[in-house]
Amino acid sequence: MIKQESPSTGANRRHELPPDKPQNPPIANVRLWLNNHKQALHRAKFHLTHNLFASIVTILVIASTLTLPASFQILFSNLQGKEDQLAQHSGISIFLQKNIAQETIQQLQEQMTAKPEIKALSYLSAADVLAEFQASVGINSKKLLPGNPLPAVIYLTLDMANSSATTIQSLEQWLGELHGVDLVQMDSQWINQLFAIVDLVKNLSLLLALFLIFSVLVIIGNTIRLLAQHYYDEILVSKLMGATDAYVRRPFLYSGVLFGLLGGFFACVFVFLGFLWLDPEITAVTHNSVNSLTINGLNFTDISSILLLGALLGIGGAWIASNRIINEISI
Amino acid sequence: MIEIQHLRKQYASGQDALRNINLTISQGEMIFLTGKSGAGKSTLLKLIALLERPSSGNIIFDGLDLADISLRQLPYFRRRIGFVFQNPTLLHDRSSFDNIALPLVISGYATDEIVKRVRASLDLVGLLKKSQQPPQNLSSGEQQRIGIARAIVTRPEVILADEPTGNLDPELSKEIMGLFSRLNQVGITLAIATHDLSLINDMPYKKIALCNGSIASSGEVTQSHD
Ligand SMILES: Nc1ncnc2c1ncn2[C@@H]1O[C@H](COP(=O)(O)OP(=O)(O)O)[C@@H](O)[C@H]1O
Ligand SMILES: [Mg+2]
Repeated sequence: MIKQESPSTGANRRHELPPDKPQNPPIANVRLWLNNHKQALHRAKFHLTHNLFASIVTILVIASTLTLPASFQILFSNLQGKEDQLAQHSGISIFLQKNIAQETIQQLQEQMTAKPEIKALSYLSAADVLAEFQASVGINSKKLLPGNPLPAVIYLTLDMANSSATTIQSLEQWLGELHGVDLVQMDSQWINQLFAIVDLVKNLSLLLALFLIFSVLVIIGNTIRLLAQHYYDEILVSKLMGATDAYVRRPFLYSGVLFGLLGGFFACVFVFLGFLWLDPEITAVTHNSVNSLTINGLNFTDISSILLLGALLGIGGAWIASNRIINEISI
Repeated sequence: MIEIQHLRKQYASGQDALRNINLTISQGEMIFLTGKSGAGKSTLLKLIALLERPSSGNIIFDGLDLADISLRQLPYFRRRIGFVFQNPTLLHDRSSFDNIALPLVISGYATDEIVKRVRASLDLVGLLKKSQQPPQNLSSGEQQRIGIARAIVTRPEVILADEPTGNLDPELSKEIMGLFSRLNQVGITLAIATHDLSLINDMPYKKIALCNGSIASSGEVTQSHD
């Protein structure tokens, strides 16, 4: 038989507003708080596994949507700092015509060494250029480029002490008129062009990434909205029994975070698999020592920022969606 | 326990659901609210439970003016009241035990206390054996008893019941009313709305008849309490 509280406890409460929180000792409050969160997490796991197939589909959709922004993040974090490194080059690249004779190349090199403005010279055959390109981009370009479309190159290092803008300009002109030379390019020039393109690509991909990230917010929000609608009765009954909005909201926030984290995790897996497909060697940390562009695959910072992004999108989407349902039940 | 003064409720539709209600429900008392459908019984219970706010007038609950309760405080006030509805609003995705445990879980009780109290409540409504059954496996009378067990499990000061026997046949209705009497005997204050006069006619409790939002008669206790 259930016992009613003694009347004296009732009398003590007279003329008092109900307390905002149960008046427990601090340690009991901590335990209550932990317990509340444990329960909410448990409910969230139940939400997720209850309709497992739908959950898996949602997580994979989130993951594929996050894959592109995640790849951008990795590419651009790899590019960071390489720009300055490259811009310091003060040389001239001479792209040779295709299929010229070995003697012509030999002759060209001799003519160039004779010039006082030129400090050093190095020759790379077409095969060497391709190898360097592969090493520097970190991608097995055989999959991307059919055959070898790259020309042989002679790199000149200028003796900057012995040259001025005008001497370099006349040197450039002289080089261009040599037999067997296809194109003469000042390194700083093409580097600037490259980085102008990189900047444009960066801005476009940032825009695309923001759009995709917003889509993930919408996907998670919509998933949680459907979930909250499914548990409408439970929310209603809980509010009638004195559940606070925070209590009602909590399991949905956890569900959102779980969706976001799992989506982020699988996005990392997709990115990893994508790079693996492009080059199986990509994950080797000391992949190449060429002082140029290297892609190191996923590092700890990348993974944690993708997971953090997923979790934040999860909690944000869930917050908006669950609040809408909670406010709908205004009792 | 509950003092109602000049209470008026007008819904957004413009209709006066209650007009100038004055009523006192003492601690440990059990009263019936009677009247035809549309008389205002549900509205009165909703106002006491703060499911609706009055248009004017006051409700003093255990010395506390309900108008002073903010949205933030509302959930904590609700925990002092037990509700029983015509439809027991049980959750079908969990056992009867877990349905009854819900208000305790919400209020943050420890697990062993929850087990103790839920078992005591189930025992009181005579359904200890069915604790692991989900509500949809129970008869409607049993479901209503689970609803009542859920309402009393927090040991509320007041139980408000709105047509608790509305879906039940006369036999089961008698049983439920008997259960309310027993709760009253252990000191719980109850207000029960019903339109079924024949069911409560010979029950020895105060009957307040509502008609078009006003108190038509405040009938006295017909038999002595034994
Ligand atoms: N949510 C509401 N909005 C507008 N009018 C309502 C609402 N609830 C009840 N009413 C009206 O208030 C009056 C009293 O209704 P109610 O309290 O439900 O009566 P009872 O429970 O005695 O049948 C009725 O005329 C009803 O139509
Ligand atoms: Mg009614």
